[in-house]
Amino acid sequence: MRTRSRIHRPASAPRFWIVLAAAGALFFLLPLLGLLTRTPWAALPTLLVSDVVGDALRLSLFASVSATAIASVLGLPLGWMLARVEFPGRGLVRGAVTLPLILPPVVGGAVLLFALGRRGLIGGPLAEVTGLVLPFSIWGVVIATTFVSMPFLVITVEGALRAMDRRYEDAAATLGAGPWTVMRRVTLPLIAPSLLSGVVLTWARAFGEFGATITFAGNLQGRTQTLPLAVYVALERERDAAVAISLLMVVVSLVVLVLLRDRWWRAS
Amino acid sequence: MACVVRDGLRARIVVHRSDGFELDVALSVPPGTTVALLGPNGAGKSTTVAALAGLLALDDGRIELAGVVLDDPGTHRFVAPEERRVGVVFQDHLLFPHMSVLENVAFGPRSRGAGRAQARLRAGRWIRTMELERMASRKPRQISGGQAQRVALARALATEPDLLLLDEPLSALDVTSRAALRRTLVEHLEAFEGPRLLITHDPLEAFHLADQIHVLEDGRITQKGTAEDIRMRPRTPYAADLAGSNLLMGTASGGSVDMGELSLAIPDVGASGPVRVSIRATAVSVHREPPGGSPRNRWPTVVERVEDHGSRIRLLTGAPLPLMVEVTPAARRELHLTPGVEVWLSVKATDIGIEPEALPGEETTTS
Repeated sequence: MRTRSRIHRPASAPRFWIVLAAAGALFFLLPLLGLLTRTPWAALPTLLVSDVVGDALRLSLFASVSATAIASVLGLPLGWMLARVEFPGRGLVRGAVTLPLILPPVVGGAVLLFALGRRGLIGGPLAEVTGLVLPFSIWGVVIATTFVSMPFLVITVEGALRAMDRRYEDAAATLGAGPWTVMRRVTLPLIAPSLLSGVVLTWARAFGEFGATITFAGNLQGRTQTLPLAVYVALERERDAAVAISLLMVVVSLVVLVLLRDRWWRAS
Repeated sequence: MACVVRDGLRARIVVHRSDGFELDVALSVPPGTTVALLGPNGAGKSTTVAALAGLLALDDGRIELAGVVLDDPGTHRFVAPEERRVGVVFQDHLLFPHMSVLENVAFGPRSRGAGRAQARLRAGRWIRTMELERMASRKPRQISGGQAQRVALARALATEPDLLLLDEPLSALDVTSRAALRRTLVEHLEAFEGPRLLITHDPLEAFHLADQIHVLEDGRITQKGTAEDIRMRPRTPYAADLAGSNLLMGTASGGSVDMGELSLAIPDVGASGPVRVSIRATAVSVHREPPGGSPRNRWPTVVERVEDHGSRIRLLTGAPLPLMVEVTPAARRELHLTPGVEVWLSVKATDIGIEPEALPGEETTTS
């Protein structure tokens, strides 16, 4: 069980192996380099403080953080149910939850539109009763983003719960802990590393969301135009702005991933 | 502070597992005594623990602890594990890895409604009893196996249980620390006044720690008795093997027993007909030459296998009477005991245990 102090000898590998690994790394590093060489450094401050970019950044952060929060609140219990409770239709539910992972996001957005649109199955009655119209609103952005990102949380949680040693929960129960105490003080702390990497993955997917958002929520600056959409629009009209926003997204993502990786990813 | 235990544990545990395995055991453990449930892997020991702890519901039978019925399918009564007062020391301890030693011990009192400060106070008392003060703030992975075992015991006792269940408490330890911890465990067990049930596959553990031993084989209790009973009068080949005895069948008449190809002299206790013959592995002497002197029971045979168990060597001998024989490492060197060597064996008549064979059906009645 305690293999922490196991000693590894330095790895040695055949040369072609190292060449292939280097090619794999370059595949990711070169595009970033390309972005940097193309960046209009002098004009960068002006480009980034524009209304378009400011609106999009605010909206992107709001939508991705909201989506992560909703995904956590709903996805944690859902992942737990999928891992622990054998209920009829579990396979179907699991399939539906993981579908957005392989579905083209545009199709995801279209599906949402059919269901939640003004004339949709749920959207119609919802609009009639509350007057709330989800498509092409900021809530539409949050819903589309949640739809594509929550599966990451659910499957990480389910996997972690299946992998954990359930006897710890048994031990807690014999010590007098009820189901909620077991969950709070034993289960969640034990899966915390996986849970946090699930949250990070979810946020990362939400931050970069494009297809479902543009289909379901449209592309209205200041209301539904997130950073990826702003890049898409700028590519057509103003290359420099597109480069600037891309750079911004790269920096924000890198900062978040690097900060979290050192603290949690290693543990999982 | 000491919990007054009016009644011990009385249980009949019947569980039909989905893999076809059937467990049916009756247990009775009075307060202040340690009963060991001794059996090989797959005998149903873990299932028994799970049923008593409430992690598994009975299919039939009844569990009563300290005058309270915990499980009775007949009346649809089932008390959830967190409502039972059963302290469990688990196999490999299962200390919560994300909590300190103190937090682990305080977990029980805290879960049973004590405030944070009060729970820590109560945990602190057990930490001192188990002499764990110096590691109270360490995490379980920073302490030794022996210390972890004491923490597990402290954690179970801090809930002031009505029953202490020890599930293979020493199996996670290496052989040398096991011997030392067996001794300290005896002392610490005395600190608990309620009934104690020890689950183990290690006869040494059972013989040292328990007042009563129940031998569990394939879901049934095949023998109940003291360590002495099991050692001297094992009733199944399994019990005989773990007690270091040979259990054989023979036909007695007067002062001898017919073992097929060999007839042995026995104390004349008036036994006749089919009997169980038990010969302790250490009661058999090994010689290179035909032995002189008193033993009337002596015969030549061949060493078929030699097993090294450290301080003792086990020999398996061949026809006419296959036996397990124990000798010291010194004797093995002196006599050059290796597989294939021809030797003489001798047993004193008084070292042969004779018991009339149980009538069919006798073993199934359990109190």
